[in-house]
This record gives sequence, structure tokens and C-alpha cells, in this order.
Amino acid sequence: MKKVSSLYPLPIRIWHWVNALLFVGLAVTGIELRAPGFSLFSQYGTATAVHKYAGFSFIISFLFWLIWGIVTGAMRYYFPRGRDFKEIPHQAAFYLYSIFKGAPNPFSASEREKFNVLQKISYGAVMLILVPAIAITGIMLSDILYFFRSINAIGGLRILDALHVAAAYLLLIFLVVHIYMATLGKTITAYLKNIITGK
Amino acid sequence: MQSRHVFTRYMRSDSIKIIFVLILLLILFPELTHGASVSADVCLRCHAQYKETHHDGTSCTDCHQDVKTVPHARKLEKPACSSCHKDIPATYEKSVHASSNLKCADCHNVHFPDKDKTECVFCHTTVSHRSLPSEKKHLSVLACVACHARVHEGTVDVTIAVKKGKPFTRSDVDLDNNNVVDKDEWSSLLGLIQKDTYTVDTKYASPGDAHSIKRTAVSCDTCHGEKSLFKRGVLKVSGVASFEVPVLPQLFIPKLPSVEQFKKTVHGKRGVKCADCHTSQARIDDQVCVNCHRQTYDVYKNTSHASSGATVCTDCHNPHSVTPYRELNVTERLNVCARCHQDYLKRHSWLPNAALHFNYLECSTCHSPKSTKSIVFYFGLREGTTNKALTYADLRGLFADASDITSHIDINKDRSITSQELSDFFMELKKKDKKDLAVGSSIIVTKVYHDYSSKGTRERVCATCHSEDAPFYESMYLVIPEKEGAAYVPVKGTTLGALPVSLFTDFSLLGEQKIKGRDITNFFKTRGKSRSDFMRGLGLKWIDVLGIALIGIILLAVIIHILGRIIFRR
Repeated sequence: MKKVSSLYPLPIRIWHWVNALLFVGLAVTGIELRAPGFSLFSQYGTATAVHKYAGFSFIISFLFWLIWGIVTGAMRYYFPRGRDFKEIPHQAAFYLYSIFKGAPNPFSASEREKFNVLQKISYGAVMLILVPAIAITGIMLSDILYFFRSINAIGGLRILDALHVAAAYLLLIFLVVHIYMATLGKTITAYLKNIITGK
Repeated sequence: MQSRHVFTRYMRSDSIKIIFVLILLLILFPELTHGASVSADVCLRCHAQYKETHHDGTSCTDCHQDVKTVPHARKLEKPACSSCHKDIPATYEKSVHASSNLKCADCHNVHFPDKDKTECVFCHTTVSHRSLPSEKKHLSVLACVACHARVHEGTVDVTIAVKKGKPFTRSDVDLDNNNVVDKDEWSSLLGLIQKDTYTVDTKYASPGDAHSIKRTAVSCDTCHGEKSLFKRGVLKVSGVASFEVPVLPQLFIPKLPSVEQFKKTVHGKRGVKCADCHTSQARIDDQVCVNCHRQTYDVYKNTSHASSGATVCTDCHNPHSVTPYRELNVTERLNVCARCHQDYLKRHSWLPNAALHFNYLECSTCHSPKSTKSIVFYFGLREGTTNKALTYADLRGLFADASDITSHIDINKDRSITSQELSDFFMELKKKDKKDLAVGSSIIVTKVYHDYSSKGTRERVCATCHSEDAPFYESMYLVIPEKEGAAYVPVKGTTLGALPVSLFTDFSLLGEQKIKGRDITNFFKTRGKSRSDFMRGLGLKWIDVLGIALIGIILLAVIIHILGRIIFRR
């Protein structure tokens, strides 16, 4: 494997962990808001406030990622190209089958290609579809009166709420898979070291 | 001799004798020539005490018609006044005096007018007007009949006596020369003459028909309302100038603007009269309200809101604009409190989405813990960020028989609304050109407990309301505007069940979207009819069920993957 000086530059590593923290905070408070049986904070009001401000921070974090990606050109890592799609069966077969036989990962990260095709698809969908969707619906929910017309335009509060929640479940699923797959490196903590040290 | 003989012969004839007597009588008693009547002079020979009697030029026998000859029968019939006063009986029959069996002669003394008892005070020696506001003023300027009898028109005579100063003319008073002194001209006149040099004497003439006296007096608005009985006024100037000019009578009768309004209030509709509360001109105090609202008062008087805030009923309630509390919408209810608590938004800065909350809640939802709260739904049209409730007038035109709107919604007549009935009516209204139709909702107090002293600081628990278990979910009403006012008809089922997502997408409330363990278990357990009811009540929470199921599957896959790695030691 080719030695990469810095697979993940420092700003992106910091962004990743800030984003991760916000993501988990939003997930936990979000669950409390949706399922009152589950409570992290003793006060629902605290959960609401934390969710709201973590949400705004998450949006700022997302905007940083977006601008960084556009300015540095890192955005290209998230878009699968034509020949990438041929790799889908190989990559999937690796995760589902050959990994148990000790076969090497058909993809190795480099300066040119940081993500394999499945990562591109999932990260791309998360960052460019789900996160904007949950951010926009979240902003609307943060001030229902201010966004009243827009809310009615998309079908009303119930629909808005449903969109936000649906995106949230998909993001939760992503989180579970993402965390687990972070352990699928050469060693269990290899990828974790990558995103911490950048190497 | 021949001629004497002839005379004697004639005298012997009986018929001649009779004629002779009659002629003699006519000479002696000329009044007998007037048909069968007897002249007053003849009457007065015996009835000298009636010498001074004058009844508008009538003679004794005009009334005592059964006296044809003198001497007359010992017992005479009572004269019928109505034979001349033809119009009066029709009016009088309906009066309170007629119903008390009073006859003309009980008040009128025809033979001795100075002994008439037509002054009310002859019988009504103690006239208690304690319930009349400004009793002295009213009693000093008005005759009894002004209020107690039928009056066609009243006039105000204003005499202003100006003792000193420059003389002025009519055109100095009636500035616009329109032949009537209005408010501005009256003010200008008082500015023209020097202070303390004039006196104003106002007389109110309201000639009432004393035969029309009713049991109850007219109400205040007869004179003090929009259409005052007093239609004419005359201003008489004396002293340095001397002339007369018409004046607007309203300038001298304080207008009570609330009188018209009052008739539309719940008090007015239920027949409460002005004087029932206004026993004096003093400000209404609680003791007046207590006469009817004792129970409410007993609760309220011991609360801290009563001791340090609104100390009297009228601080919050305007008896002239009082609408039944159940008719008020959330904003109107809020405004009752906001008259004093203007900074309510600032004081609720701790509350997320404070302004949004106040679109749906009234203050007493939190600040009167003992009041019963309910969710109320209403049909409204979207207007900005709120729904403007449809009124009876809005709905009336849409139905052939609009005497009872409820019957158009509650089809099965069980005095409660099911989801189906709600949806059907919603669709029916939508078809009838109500495109912006929406179901509005609010959490309001449906049974008031008059204690507002809770500062609510301990109630800053969102989950009190933002939970499916919030108490008001047990009590849901559809408010239906009816002719007689709002009808609160109970709504069956759960909020989401009653307002299914398939129809009411713009509707969201507090706790009904929260996912519960039982939602997931019932999703797998229910069958048949209860399944469709469950799914209807589940609304968009199927997203949660699906999401949780997917996460479960993913976790299971992860576990299998981990097991695989352990088994193959990778």
C-alpha cells in the first residue's frame, strides 16, 4: 500500500469529530423528542434546546464541509465515476464474503481516490441528500411561524415532521453501518487511527 | 155674547185643553224645547254643589243621559266616559291600571277637577327608584309618564340666561347658519360668554300618555341610546340677548354607547336590564356581580390574583362586551389577560417557540391548573399563520337547512363526532368552494376554575403537554358554530385517529406524533378491524416502525458479521 502523507488533512479530521459529536448529540436528543419514553435529559425542554442548537451547529459544520470540498476540490472524492460502478460487486463481495477468507480490500485509499465506490455512494447520499434534507426541515421546524408558508407549501407540519424523521432514521442506519465498518481495516482500529492521525 | 159663547164651547173641548197646557209649559220651561233634555240650570236647582263644574262645555245631561225629565229617577246609571273619549279605552285596557281594575273616576273627578287624582303621587306616595341610576337627577327633571308611559316625542328646552357681557345674535351661535346648534357651536357659545355670568336651565319635556302606563318602565336606551326619544331641542337665550334657536337634544342627554352593544351580550340576551346592575352611578362593584355569580366569586376572592392583581370582577370582565367564554377563541381569551400582562411574550422567553405556543394556548391552560382543558377543533380558513374560524354566517349559506349545522356533521346523531363524520364534512365543505379549508385546533379551558394565581414556574415541563398522555387528549371537542352560539360536540378516538394523516396533513399537535413501545407491538399484534383503526391512529409513525425495524435488521447483520469475523479469526 502506497504511503500517503496525509489522507485526511487536519481541518477535515477536526470537522469529522466535531460533526460526529454533533451527530450523536442530535441523534440522542432527537430520539428523546420523538420517543418520550426514552430520556437522556430529565427535562424535555433541555432536550429541545440542545437539539435545536446542536442542529444549527451541525448546519454550520455541514457548510464548512461543503465549502471546503468545493474550494479544495475534495468534493470529487464523493462522486462515483463510470468505471467505479463495475467495482460495486467486487467491493460488496469483499465485505460480505472474502473478508472472512482474509482477502485484501480490493480498494485502497490514496490521494487520488479516498473512498471506494460504496463509500462514495453512501457518503455522497448522506452528505448531499440526507444532511441537506434534515437540515432544511430542521430549520423550518425551528421556527414554525416564520416558515409557515413554506411548511404549508410542502404539505403541512405533519409532512415536514415526517420528512425530518425519515431522514433521521436513514442517518441513524448510516451511523450504525459507518461505525461498524470503521472496524474493518487491516486491524480493528486502523481506520480509526487514520481519521485521528490523518495517516 | 156670541163670541164668549164660542170660546166657552172650545174650552170645553179636552183636546184643546191639553194643547193649552203644553203651550203654557213651554213658556214656563223653555228647556223642554230641546228634545227630551233637562237644562243644567234645572239640575243646579237641586244640585247646587256642581255650579262650578265645567267639563269642556258639556251639559249635565250630556253625560247623565238617562235624565230625561225632572224630577228624575232616584238611581241614575253611571255615565260612560267612552261615549265621548272614544280613543282612550283601547290604550287604557292594556295598561297596568286597567289590569288593577281602576276606573276613570278613580283618577278623574269630573265634577270637581281640582280634586282630580291624576297626579301619580296621589296613589304612589312612596316612589322608590333605588334601582334607577342618578335617581335624583332623573326624578327632578322628568315626569313619571316620561318613563312609565308611551311617549311619542320628547323635547329639550334649554334656557341660557346671560347676565353680563357683550350682546350677541343668533348668527353668533348658529355659526354655519343651518338652523340648529350642534356640539361645536354649543362649545363655541360657552367660550363666547364669560364664565360665571350665565346660568343654564334644562327642561326635559316628554309628554307621556298617562292612560298607557305599563308595569315596567322603558329601558335606558329609550333616551340614552342611538335613537333617542328626544328629537327636538330649543335653545332660549335670555339676558344680554334674546332669541331662540333649535339645538341638538343629544347635547343635553348623555349617550350610553354600550346600550346598543349590551343587547348583544350574554347579559343582554338573557334579559339582564341596565338597572339590574346599575343601582347607582357608582362603578359596578363585585357585590353586584355576586348576585348571580356567587360560586365563581367564592373561588376567586381567596386567590392571590384577587388580592394583588385584578381585585374586582370588572378589571378583567367588561359586562357590556361580555361574550360567553366558550365563544371566545384563543387569541380573544389571551387578550383578556394581556390587558394587564402585556409583557407576556417577554416573560415566556424561556419557552421555545413562545409566539407559536400563544397561537394555540390561552394563559389559563397553564396558569389555572384546576381548570379543565380540552383540545378543540374547528373548521377555519387559512389566514396567515392561523386559521380563521368559520362562523355560523359562513356556513349558513352552504346548506339548504341551516337551522342546525351539527346535524350536517353528526350524521348518526349520537351527539359525538367520529373520524368519518369529520372527514366527510371536511370534504363536503371543500367541494363547496372552501379551498383554503383547514381544521384549526387549540388547547383551551372548557371548564373554568377561577383561580389564576399559579405562576406556572413548576409547570415548565414540556412533556406535561408534549406527550400522548397529556390530560387534554382525553377530552376533544369539535366547536360547531350554531345560530345560538358555539356547540361543543365531543370527538371520538385519538387525535390522529380523528384527523387521519391522509386528509389533515397540515395538522400537528404536541404529543400524537410521539412513538411509543405499544405502537410497535400493536403494529405486529393487531388484526382485522382493530388493525385498520390502529393504522389510522398510527399516522405517519409507520416511519418510526419501519426505521426501528431497519435499524434492528442492520444491527442483526452487524452481529452476524462480527460472529463471522470471530469464527474466521479475521
